[in-house]
Amino acid sequence: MEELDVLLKDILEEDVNTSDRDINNNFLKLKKILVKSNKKRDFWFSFSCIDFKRVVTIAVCSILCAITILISSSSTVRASALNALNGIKTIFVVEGSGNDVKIVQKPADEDYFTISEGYNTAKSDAELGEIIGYKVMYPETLAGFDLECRALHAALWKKLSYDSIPKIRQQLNKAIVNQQEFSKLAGYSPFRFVSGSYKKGNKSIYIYAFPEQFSTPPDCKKAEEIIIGDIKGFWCETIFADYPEKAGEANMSVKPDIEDTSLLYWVNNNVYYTLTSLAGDDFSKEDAVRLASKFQAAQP
Amino acid sequence: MQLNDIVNHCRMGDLECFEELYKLYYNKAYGTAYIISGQKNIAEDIVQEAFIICYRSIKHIKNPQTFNTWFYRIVVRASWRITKKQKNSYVESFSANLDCGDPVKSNEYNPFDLITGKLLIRQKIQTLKLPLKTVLILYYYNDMSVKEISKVLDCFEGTVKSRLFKARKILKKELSSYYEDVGKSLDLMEGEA
Repeated sequence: MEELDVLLKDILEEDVNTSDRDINNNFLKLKKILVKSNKKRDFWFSFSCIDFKRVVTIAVCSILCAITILISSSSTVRASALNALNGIKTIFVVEGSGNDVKIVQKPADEDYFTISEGYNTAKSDAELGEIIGYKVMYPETLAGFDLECRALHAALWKKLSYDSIPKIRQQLNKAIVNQQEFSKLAGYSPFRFVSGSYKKGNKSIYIYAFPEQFSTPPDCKKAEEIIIGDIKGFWCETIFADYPEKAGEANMSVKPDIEDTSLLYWVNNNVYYTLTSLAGDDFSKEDAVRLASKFQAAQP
Repeated sequence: MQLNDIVNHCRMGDLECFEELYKLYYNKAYGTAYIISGQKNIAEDIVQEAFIICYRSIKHIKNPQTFNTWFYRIVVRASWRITKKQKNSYVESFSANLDCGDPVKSNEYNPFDLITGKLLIRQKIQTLKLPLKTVLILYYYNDMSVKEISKVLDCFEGTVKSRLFKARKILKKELSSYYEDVGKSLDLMEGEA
């Protein structure tokens, strides 16, 4: 045995002095506690033949069996169960503004979304102007970017629930050019707008033009005032929720990733414009202002 | 009566046999609890709680030969739980022994060095983490083997060995540096003289 071992053994044994311990008296105290607790335990022990755990387990199993039988045999109960299940369906959405945003779960039947549908069109600016009710010019080239296409969109200003979107989306799709279908959606405050996409190499930019009354400035983490020609605009750093896709659509029942993006927005002649690029593109504020100035200069 | 018989009787609820068991194990249980917790009154509580648990659960022991490790597991767990609440381990033990001059057991050391060396080790044991300290106590104070400690602590024998090695290394280092310092200061004193 090493010296350290001897030393440790000595130290630990020296430290404990049990000579002042009255073992008999201590046991008497313990005995009182044990006897007292035994009496209490005896009271409960008298019920132990019932075996509460088993009773509770059997009861729960019986209830579950009854529910299963009811659901499988009764269409009414099945429908109620389905309703109940639908009632608890939730989606993930981003809430908050500026730097204070968070992903929260919402019931899927809560009115929360404004939707839009659109497609590329070969119509000219003039033809589009007649459909949307205001004039927007998309020049063929814009500071080295080439116009790829124009698009016409229809949107609903009234908020919808996630569950109701698929049904109304079909109607809205028809309403893009069909005035009759458009009128049918009057209860949802429909409106139309246009967009143009430009491309230079791998870079793409999109310029949207909305009627001012159907526009809401985005929630910006950081907004910087800029001047486009002689018009005041804002360079906005914001976020968007990137949902995984399911059957070509955003699957909102899955928690999305939060991505940063930037956009430029301004208003001129009651038209609200936004200029943005694809998320993650190298797209500076200076580039955006330069493109917006050229675009604005081309407007009637 | 053999321990196995005592345990068997206790399993049947025999309080007299339990008293015998209590008297057999009290001192070591109290010592273990005291060194872990560092306070007499807490150690007393720990021992009481451990024996209450023991009395209530002893009927579940299948093999009476495993009583020793089973009982110390209860003591160690109760000690850890209560000591963590108190967060004041070993203070009393250290201060209580400050003035305790111990008879010198080896001629290799100056008595003064030995005593202060022990105090130093006591201080260092105080700062050891609970798992290291517990292994040290079970090994040196309770004379348990590595295998038995692994059963008490419900861990691998390798873990016990490693904890024991770590604890000894820390204490050895402390003691060596202390003796080095003492040597230096003695040299200086001689030089000055």
